[in-house]
Amino acid sequence: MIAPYNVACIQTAIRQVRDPATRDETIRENLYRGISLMEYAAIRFGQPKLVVLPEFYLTGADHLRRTIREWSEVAVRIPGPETDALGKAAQELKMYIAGGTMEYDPGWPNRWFNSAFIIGDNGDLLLKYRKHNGADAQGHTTYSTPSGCYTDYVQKYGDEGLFPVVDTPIGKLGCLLCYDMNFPEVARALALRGAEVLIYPTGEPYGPHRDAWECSRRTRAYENCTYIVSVNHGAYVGPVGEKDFADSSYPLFQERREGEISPVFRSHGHSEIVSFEGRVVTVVNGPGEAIAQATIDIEALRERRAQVKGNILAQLRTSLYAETYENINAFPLDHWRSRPIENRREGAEATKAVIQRFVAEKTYVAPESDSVA
Amino acid sequence: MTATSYIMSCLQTEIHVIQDPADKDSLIKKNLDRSLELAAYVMATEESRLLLLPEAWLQGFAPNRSVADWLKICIQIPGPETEKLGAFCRHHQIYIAGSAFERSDVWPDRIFNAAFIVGPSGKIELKYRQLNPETLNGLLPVTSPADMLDEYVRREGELPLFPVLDTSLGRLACLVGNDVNFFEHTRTLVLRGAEILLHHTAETTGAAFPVWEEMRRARAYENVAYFASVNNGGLLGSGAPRTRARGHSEVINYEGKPMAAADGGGEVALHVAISLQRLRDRRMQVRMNFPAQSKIKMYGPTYRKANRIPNNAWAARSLKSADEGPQLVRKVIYTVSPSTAKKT
Repeated sequence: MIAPYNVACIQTAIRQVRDPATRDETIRENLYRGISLMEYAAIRFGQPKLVVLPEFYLTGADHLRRTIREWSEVAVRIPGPETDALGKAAQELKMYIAGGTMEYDPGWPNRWFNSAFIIGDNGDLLLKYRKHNGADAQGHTTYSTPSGCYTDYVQKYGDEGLFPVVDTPIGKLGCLLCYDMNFPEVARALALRGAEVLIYPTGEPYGPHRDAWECSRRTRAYENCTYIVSVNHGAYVGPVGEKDFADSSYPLFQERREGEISPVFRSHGHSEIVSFEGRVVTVVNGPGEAIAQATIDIEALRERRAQVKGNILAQLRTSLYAETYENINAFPLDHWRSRPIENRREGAEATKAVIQRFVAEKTYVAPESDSVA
Repeated sequence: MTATSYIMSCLQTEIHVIQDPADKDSLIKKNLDRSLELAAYVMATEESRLLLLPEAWLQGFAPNRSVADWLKICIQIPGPETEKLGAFCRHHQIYIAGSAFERSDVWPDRIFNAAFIVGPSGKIELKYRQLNPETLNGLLPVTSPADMLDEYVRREGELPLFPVLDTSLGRLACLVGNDVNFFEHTRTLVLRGAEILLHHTAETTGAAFPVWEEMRRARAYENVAYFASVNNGGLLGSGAPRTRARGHSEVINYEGKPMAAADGGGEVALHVAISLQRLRDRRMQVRMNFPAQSKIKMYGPTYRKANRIPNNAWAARSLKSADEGPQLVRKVIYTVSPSTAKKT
């Protein structure tokens, strides 16, 4: 029996690491601000058993002109001093702590990852997940994904290393990150491996897709019968100024600028907890530093999963769709196996090539006149 | 010549439910004639090019019916009913997509829940047999082609499991009711070229149904595809509440945003302008081009190892009753998680 317990979304304001030389100081600020808020959550709201922090909570995300080598200096190691400090906090506060950070692993030279982690209330690092979807298909930054070096990755960690799930005294936990939510297969792969609580650190901005992202969250929770704990940033604090833009190819940025350019509230906040029925249980109404709590009832979820009617996970025709998924070639695996992604634009080029192939193979139809894009 | 933009109409019809197989002919005629009246109304008021009809459009549902009685009320596709639609389509040079319970001489003891598209030729241009019928929920003794996959492919070689029809109105594909719960289904259709997903449904008002609406939007958004859901406006002449279907036929654009929706049950004709040009422009853009960015093959081993519902579960013999579906699901639940299964 797992008694119902509280979970808290810790929507933090993030200080961006700008200059690799000031990395340690900025990361320390993010780390300890997060821990202070956890402590506050424990005092003010009643003891949460699980707290979740946003995507790249320790490092921020500089989307512009950082080299792979600079990123490997800025990113943290997991495990490393930062997760050790969180482990100490987990023991003292008697909480499971999960969140996201940019990660460097010397076992994968010339790559860095966008990762999520779960630390147990005994201080141990229980799980590490590396984001599957984002930069290497979008073209906004240069982190690597497991599929980019798929063959080597699976050889090293096994197929389960792609979609890790950890069985704990508070239920079976798995992670996904931000852009992953747009691909229903990620949440499904975790649920098919038993995940009951999907921990979802995110960094989603304001934009025309915002509604659809919220809709996707509720849909994933419902179709997989899982809780979703979604935690976004509250704000981006700290200057984004001349150094970042001085050598950028954007004409706008070629004039030297001082101080901040990115809006402090560029993320829409809106951290939320969705029940396994696809209903929003609690939500932060907007950006800013905030904490939201809700109760998770694992036994109720397990009872639902034991029912026949509407049990999507049990009624899934996995043999039928295995055939489909094994045989359709959309975005290629192993695209960056021999040479890791170096330039952020390579991600966009890779997707462009798939679109062109889709047109040639008649998966997509090209518009009659030239695209407005 | 491809239309860059055109009007699609959902016909949210009220369905006279066949209870006694003896009433089959008269009630099917009633449902068919009323649909054609509504279609004629639409053609008089809108320049619609594609009309959609709901799931179980000619027959309705009677949950406790025997397999033998189900077979009696099924239609054949093509057959006299779809020929009547064909004459209408030929006359107006339009497409009509609908859905009905079907029997086939190739499978004399099987019931299918089928969707079809009749074109300006007057002929059936696409036929899809529901892959995820309500059988596993214990509601109907309908066979999924996957339940006898090997033999199905052998006998029906020419009839694809995931058909997509290339027309001047775009690439059309059908799904039926419960299929919307399985994103794998719509993903497959889209990666086979579908641009406009036609969802023939019969959703009732119930605990899960706010989420069914969210799913429609998610299916449109995650596939950069139009998604049109057409539900019935009422189920007449059965013991159940007549507006137990919640209506709410709806068309969602490729950004996942609802363009128009019926507010509830009752007879409704809902019209929406579809822009193929804008959809195709959007699919040429890199950012958030989810079908092109999907690392589909990475998930193959996950599905292969997951061991939920197997193919060919009813290959050796046909379903004898609707109870057999839940028995299979219970077995899956027990295999996947013995401790969980004991809870209920």
